[in-house]
This record gives sequence, structure tokens and C-alpha cells, in this order.
Amino acid sequence: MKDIKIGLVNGLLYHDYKFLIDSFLDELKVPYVISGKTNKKILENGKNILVDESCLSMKIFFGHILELVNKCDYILVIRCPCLRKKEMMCTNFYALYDLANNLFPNKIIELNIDQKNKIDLKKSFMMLGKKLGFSKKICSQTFDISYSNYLHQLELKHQQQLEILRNDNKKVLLVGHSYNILDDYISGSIKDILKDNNIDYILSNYFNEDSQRYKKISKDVYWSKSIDILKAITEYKDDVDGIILISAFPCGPDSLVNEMILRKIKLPILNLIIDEANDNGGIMTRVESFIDIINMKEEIHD
Amino acid sequence: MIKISFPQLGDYSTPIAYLLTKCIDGEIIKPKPITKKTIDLGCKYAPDSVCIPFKYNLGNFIESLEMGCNYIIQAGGGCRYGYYGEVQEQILKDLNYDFHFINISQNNRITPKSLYKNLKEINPKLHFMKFCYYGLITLLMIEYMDNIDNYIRLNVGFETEEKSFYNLKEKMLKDFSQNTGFISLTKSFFSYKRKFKHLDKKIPKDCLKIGIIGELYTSMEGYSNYYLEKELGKMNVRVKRYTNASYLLYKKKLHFRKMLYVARKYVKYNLGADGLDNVYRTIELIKHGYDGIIHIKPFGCTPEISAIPIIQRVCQDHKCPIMFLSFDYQTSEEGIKTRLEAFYEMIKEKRNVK
Repeated sequence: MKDIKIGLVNGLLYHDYKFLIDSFLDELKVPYVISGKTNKKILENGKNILVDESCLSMKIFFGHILELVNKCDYILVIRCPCLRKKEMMCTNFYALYDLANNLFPNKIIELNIDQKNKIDLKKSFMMLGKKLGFSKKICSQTFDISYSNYLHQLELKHQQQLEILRNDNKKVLLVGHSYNILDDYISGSIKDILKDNNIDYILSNYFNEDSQRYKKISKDVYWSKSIDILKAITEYKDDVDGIILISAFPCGPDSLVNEMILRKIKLPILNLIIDEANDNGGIMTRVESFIDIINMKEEIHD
Repeated sequence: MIKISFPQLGDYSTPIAYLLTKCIDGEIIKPKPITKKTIDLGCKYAPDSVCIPFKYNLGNFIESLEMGCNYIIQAGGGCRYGYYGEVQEQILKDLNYDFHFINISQNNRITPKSLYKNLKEINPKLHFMKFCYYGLITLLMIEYMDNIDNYIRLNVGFETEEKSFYNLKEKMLKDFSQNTGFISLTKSFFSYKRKFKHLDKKIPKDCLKIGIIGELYTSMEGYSNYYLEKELGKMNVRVKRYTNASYLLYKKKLHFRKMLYVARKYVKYNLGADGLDNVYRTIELIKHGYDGIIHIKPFGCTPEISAIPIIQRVCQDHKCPIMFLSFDYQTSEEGIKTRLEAFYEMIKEKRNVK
């Protein structure tokens, strides 16, 4: 399977593993093309392919696939039912490969991360490498290089966030899945409003992995990505003035976990649910009034 | 004084109540049958975008707490169900109810071990062997109930005397809950099976057959699907449904490899929760010559939504009619009936053309 071009879908878990996948393919010298930024056309396309009730992020994901179909030989889809032991992911990630494969037959190649069946990150990448026609040894070496690279990048981002925390500006924590927070179509306008009002924001994607303090918010939660969010909140909550929860409509895990966050965290929290209409006016009004609340809180304290 | 309650799920309140009476020294409060008031209460306090079973359960709990119960049991697993417990506990505690919440699901799964541990906490005198004995009887009772239910579903549309099946089933459930052991339970099962077979019914040779697939709660709890099966029965249709408690409790695990093999043309991996099961069922129903399939789910059910495009493709390949129904708080009963009638006319016409 050499001399093929791989399409990378700029949606869902690709936002998490961007550095890793890019550098892995770079090192193996496999040509690849990344679908562009999300725009209205992509969302419309995705809406037409999927069932109405699918969540916004899924629609965007399939819109991106449609964008890529004619530009490459195979499209890489990350299937990830179980990222860490004793945890699980939203069931959308279980079905992602089969769903894509049924809608676009013979076009999909999968990266299957499944800790429950003992396929960890490294093994999954080695299986991908094998499918692309590389030997075990090369794949293993390449993965190690890219993985250390990836960890380094994450650490850098984390340090940058800690840097922001040290200044005296007002700060807001943007909480949500990485595919919502890093996608400018969904959260770009929120970031812009915050910037215009001189408020710094930090993202919930970069945090300290080891902490177990999140159990104070919720002890039973088992979705890996929701646990990550709770970890980020426990790490940053004492240093920020407010939290903005961003979730796509209708997100399964978020519908319950956000409720727990709203009930347990005593900070100003804005719960934004973004849907297909993506009405910027409404979001702007809500974020601006939220900023007013944060500013007023300080005045009362003074 | 322990007053214990649990969420309503079809007729399964009988075996659950049986197990609890035997294992716990206290009063069992059976949940009230679901009404409009239950769902109103649930919707008032539940988060907006959560799926509808959460709201039914929450409504059940509030009604039971109002009746003075002080212990509540919740269990579930697979998709969002496993996490219901903690959020419901928090919501009810914030409403200032004073009660103990017992969550049987751990890590999104129900195991006999966690059930035993939790029952032991309520009743420290509970012996493990006693728990095993009554646990097995309960499982057997569920198995027998499902067996009879399957028979009822196939035949209830053709009864000559109205409600004869329903009345006999009520009697059966009462007898089942008063059993004295494996032997008496098995005896009463066979005698009732015979009685059901001898009930008067007229089955025409070419009646229509419809399979119901979909999410577990809306399949099993009659109110949440507006008694879809009864409606179909009135139209003289034979109904087949796969999802029942015995399937979820133990048959599902045994079937996994077989399902993956049968559905291999469409599915390579597990689709999460009941997704793969429903693809498999679609293929099986088509193979057995069913005239139509109805897929039901609550609004926003993630695993089913991911499975729907695959099911659609299976049905397209085999030219099998399928209807997707999504239930929510505001779903109108009349709307469902109209769609059901249209679907029925359609498959009838298709049969005639053949």
C-alpha cells in the first residue's frame, strides 16, 4: 500500500492527536492532506449525510470527510472506544469507523485505540503503519519519536497556560471537548469577544494528568474526555474568575456531566450549548453579560 | 424502618420486588405506574438535553419519595445509563429529600457482586447463599416472564375475547411472585403456558409480521412508547421484539461473536450499547421474512443514532420497509398513531402487490 495519499479529517479526536498523527506520517514520509477549517458549507453537507439527531460535532466530522473524498485515496478515521483502562468514550467513537465505512465504502482506514482489548496508543499506530506497508521496527521507532514530540508539545502548551495564569488580567476557563474548543467555527466567536473585552482565557485541553481530585466533583463518571474536563476544572478553578462550558447539541456525556459541574462548582458559570443555527447574536449577548458579571463581582468585593 | 423503591420498567417490578422482599427486611414500595404527572415532575428537575428515560426515572423517584420511601435503588449500564445514578442522587439531594441512594452500577456495568455488596449494606444479616438462591430464582422468573411475553406479543392481536391475555398475565405475575422455590415456579410456568395456548384466538394464515427493534427502555416500558405493541396488536399484527431483561442480563454476552459474524458485511467492530445488536436484529428479521421493522428510541440516544445509517443501508439493500420513531416529552400520541397506520397500510399494500 505504498504511494498512497491519506486524508486527515479535521474533526473529533484529530484535534487531540494532531501533533502525533502529523509527525508520525511525516516521519514515515507518507503524503497526506488535511481538510480545511470548518465552515458553513461543511456543516450543511454533514447535516445532509447524517440523521438529524446526531450531535453537531459528528455532522461537522462527516462534512469534512465529504470534503476529502475526492482529494485522497484513503481517509483516516480514529475509532476509540476505550482510551484508558476502566473508562470508556462516548458511544459515537465506538461506531465512528463502521458508520463512515458504510457511508463511504472502501474509502476509510482506521486507527483503532481500544484499551479494553489491549490495543494501546502505540499498538494502534503500529497497526496503522502495518496497513500502510511499513515494518514493525520502523513503525515502533517512528512512534517513539513522534510520541515524545507530542508530549513535549502538550507540555509546552500547558506551560503557556500557566504563564497566562500568573498575570493580573481577568481570566476565564473555557471548558469543553477539544473538538469544540479548538474548532474556531464553534468557539471562535466566544474567544473573540473575550479578547475584545481584555479578558484572558485558558483552555481545558491542557492540564495535569495525574491528579485524582476530580472525584470530589463526580466519583462515578467514566467517560475519559469528561474526566479530562473535570481534571482541568479542579486544576484551574482557584485561579480563574469564571468558567464557560461549551458543548455541542445534543451531547450525551455533557448533558449529565455539565449538570454535576453546575451543581458542585461555586464560580460564575455560563453553560453554552451550540447548535446548527449557531446564532452568533445570542451567544454574544450571553457572553457579554457573563463578562459584566465577572467584572461586577470584583467591584462588590472591593 | 426501611422503605425501599426502584424505577419502573415494564412488568419487571414483580421480579425486582420479589428479590428485595426476600433479601431485605423492610417494606417494598412498588413504583407508581407512569402517568403524565411522573414525566412532568421528571422534566421539571432534569437537565434539558438528557434522554427521556432519565426523566421517567427521576419522576418515579420523586413520586416514591413523596410516598415516604427512604431507600432508592438505581442501576444501569451501557451508554449514559451507568451515570444516571449519581446525577439523580445529586438532584434529589438538592431538592432536600432525606434518603439513601443505592447505585448498583459500577464502571457502567451491573455485576452480581455489586448487587450483593449493596444489599448487604442495607441488610447486614443477608447470607451469601441466600442471596444466590433468590437471585437465581429471580433470574429464572424473568426468563419465564420473557418467554410468555414473546408468546403474548405474537398472538395478542388475534384474541377473540377482549383483554383475555392481559387478565391471564396479571394472574400469572401474581402467582409467580408467590412461588416457594424453583419447582413451584417451574410448575406454574408450564401450567400458565398451557393456559395461554388454550386461550381462544383466530389467526388468519397471511397475517402481517412486524419486528420492533431499538433502545432498551423505550422498548420495555409501555408508557414511554405509548403502548406501541398494543396498538399493533389491535391492527392484527404479529409482533416480535428482541430486547427484554433476560437478554440484557445474560444472553447479550453470549451472542456477541455470533452477532459480529452475521453482521460482518456491514459492521467490523462493536458499535457500543445496543447498536450492533440492532443491526444484527435487522438482518435476522429480514431473513425470517418480516414485513416491516419499527425502530424506536428516545430523542438523542447516541448509540442508536450512530447505528441508524447502517440499519438504513441494510434495509435498502434488502428492500425492507423500516420506520424510525423517536420519543420525547412532547411527542404526540396521535402523531405516532397516524404514522403507525400509514406504515401498516404501506406494508399491507406491499404484501398484496407480491
